[in-house]
Amino acid sequence: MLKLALATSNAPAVYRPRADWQKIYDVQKSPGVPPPNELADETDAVVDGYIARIQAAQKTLREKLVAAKPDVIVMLGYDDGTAFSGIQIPQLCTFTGEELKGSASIAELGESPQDNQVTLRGDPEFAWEMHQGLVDASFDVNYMSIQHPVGREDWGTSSAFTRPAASLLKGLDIPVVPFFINCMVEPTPPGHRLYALGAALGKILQDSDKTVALLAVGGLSHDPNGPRAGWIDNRLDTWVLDRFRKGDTQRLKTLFDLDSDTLNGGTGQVRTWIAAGAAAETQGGRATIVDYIPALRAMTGLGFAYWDLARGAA
Amino acid sequence: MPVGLGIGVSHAPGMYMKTEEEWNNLWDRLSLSRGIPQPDYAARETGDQLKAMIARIQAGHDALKKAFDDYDPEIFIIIGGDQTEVFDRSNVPQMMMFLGDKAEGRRPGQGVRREGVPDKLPTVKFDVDVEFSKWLLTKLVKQKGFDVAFSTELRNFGRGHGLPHAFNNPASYLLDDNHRVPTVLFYQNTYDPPSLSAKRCYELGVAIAELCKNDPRRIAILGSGGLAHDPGGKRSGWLDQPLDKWFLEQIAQGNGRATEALFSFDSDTMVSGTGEIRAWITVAGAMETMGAKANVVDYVEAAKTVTGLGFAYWRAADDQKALLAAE
Repeated sequence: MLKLALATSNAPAVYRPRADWQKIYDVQKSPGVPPPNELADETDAVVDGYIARIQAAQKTLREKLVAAKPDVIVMLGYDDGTAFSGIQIPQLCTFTGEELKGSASIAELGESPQDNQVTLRGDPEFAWEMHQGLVDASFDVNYMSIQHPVGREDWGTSSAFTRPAASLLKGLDIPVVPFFINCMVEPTPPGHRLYALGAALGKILQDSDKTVALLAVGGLSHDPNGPRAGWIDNRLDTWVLDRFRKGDTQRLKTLFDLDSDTLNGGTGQVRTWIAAGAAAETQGGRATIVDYIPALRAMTGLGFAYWDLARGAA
Repeated sequence: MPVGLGIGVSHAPGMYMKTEEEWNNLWDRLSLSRGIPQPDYAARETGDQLKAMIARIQAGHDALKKAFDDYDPEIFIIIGGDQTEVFDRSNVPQMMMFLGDKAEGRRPGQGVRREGVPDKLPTVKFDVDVEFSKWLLTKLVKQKGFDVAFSTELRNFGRGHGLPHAFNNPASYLLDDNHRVPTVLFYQNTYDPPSLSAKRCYELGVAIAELCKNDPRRIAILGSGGLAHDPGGKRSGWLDQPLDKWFLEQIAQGNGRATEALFSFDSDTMVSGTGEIRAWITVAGAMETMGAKANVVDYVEAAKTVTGLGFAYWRAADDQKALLAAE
């Protein structure tokens, strides 16, 4: 059964102390793109307040996860140019192998991929079952049963999986099924496809003999090194989170049906949230928004949410 | 006109072999040496009967080449699979569009490739219509709900002979220096379970035909592989003639939707090479959308090639009628 869904932003700043925020910012900004005026208001004290809220939100998500006691966690993430390259970009890809290795280091800080090594333990039997279910439901999903990164070989796999594994999931010893969604390289799948994917996934996971948690990773609005680097679309993020809160994820079907600077870049990772929201709503779920922090110095609208799907909780 | 020609054709390596010795060697490699009990009809493929079979295969290829040249396509879409030739298990797609501008692959009819031994025959070369391929990819992903992976760089992580034989083999006689058609290379998972449902494959063809209906160019689409076969598998050499004939009958009647029954259940006879019928089903979906029924050129029951060999083409009646049918 699908017992819990979680969603978290994955900006590097989320995982590092204040001293590192400016360094990351400097690497992620784009030449000639001025920051919004409000950046000046983000004093160190404000950032410290953000960090306290981030840690509180992460603690809440982890408590929810521990309480749900899932047998397996399906991670809905994206590739950041590590696993895949122009050799082949999948739209959707299930990891069906035993172990997925990578690094939770942060390149923007000059950290080495040899440090912060993470091994995600898979659940091949469950992963194949889920994969088969998606293919049967007319989703054209790639699979990865062995690891052979072709983007940034040294980094192993995407930070969408390694960073949460090194923090939110650290020490829990729960197997995971990483699932890649193409959030970045055009053509990317549209919102309605992600909604349908989530709905199918919700049914598949609910029908499983195992207790399953979903974890969506990425977003919300951000555009590192892009034409809107440093800017956050608060209005978009707030509206998106409101849809999840109201159990109205279907409104996000059209989100990516047009081309716009505000939807390109990292904002495309909202796709993982759409799939999670649609999956949770198959079980009547409505999101609890743990926090939303439009942290300009983190260049990202940071969102944290969960859908508690335990019987009676929805 | 839009998609006006469809071709369905097998691509078994034995189809490019011209002598009894070559056929026997192939039969031995795929079936006998593996100790697989053979059906009695395999032994009849000898002498004049075998010569007649080889002649029919050549005639089938000739008929398809004639249909191709008569139509004179400006864009040629090939739907084909992979048998661990390009993809290793680190990224196995259900559908993938190739977006590199050039591609090539090993020409059939020269035995098994050996490391360090140069091929006797030149490679089959493809000029990819990158612009059209990108357009079609984007439309399929953004508008038609297909999750098509894409590649700008061909890299053999499998058996290292360039493109999969599903593309090379039919192109080896359809394309030539006098007829280098801009090509769309569309990979479809015909082989690795879990694979696409037949319904999905048919709908892919429908989507392609619908998307192309306003394109003024002459577009051809080819589905490569099949029919029923299990090369080197536990039924290697056993043909499923009722299945193949039933399939050909459906497409000849314009009843391709009926073939959605294929692969809707799990069975030893529905896996392996038989899965390549999917590529034909996509062509049926495209051509039936254009109002066409298949002309079945021939069906050759060649047990030593371990394959029921099919040859068929669809030709949309004319521009006006086809456009109306696509509405």
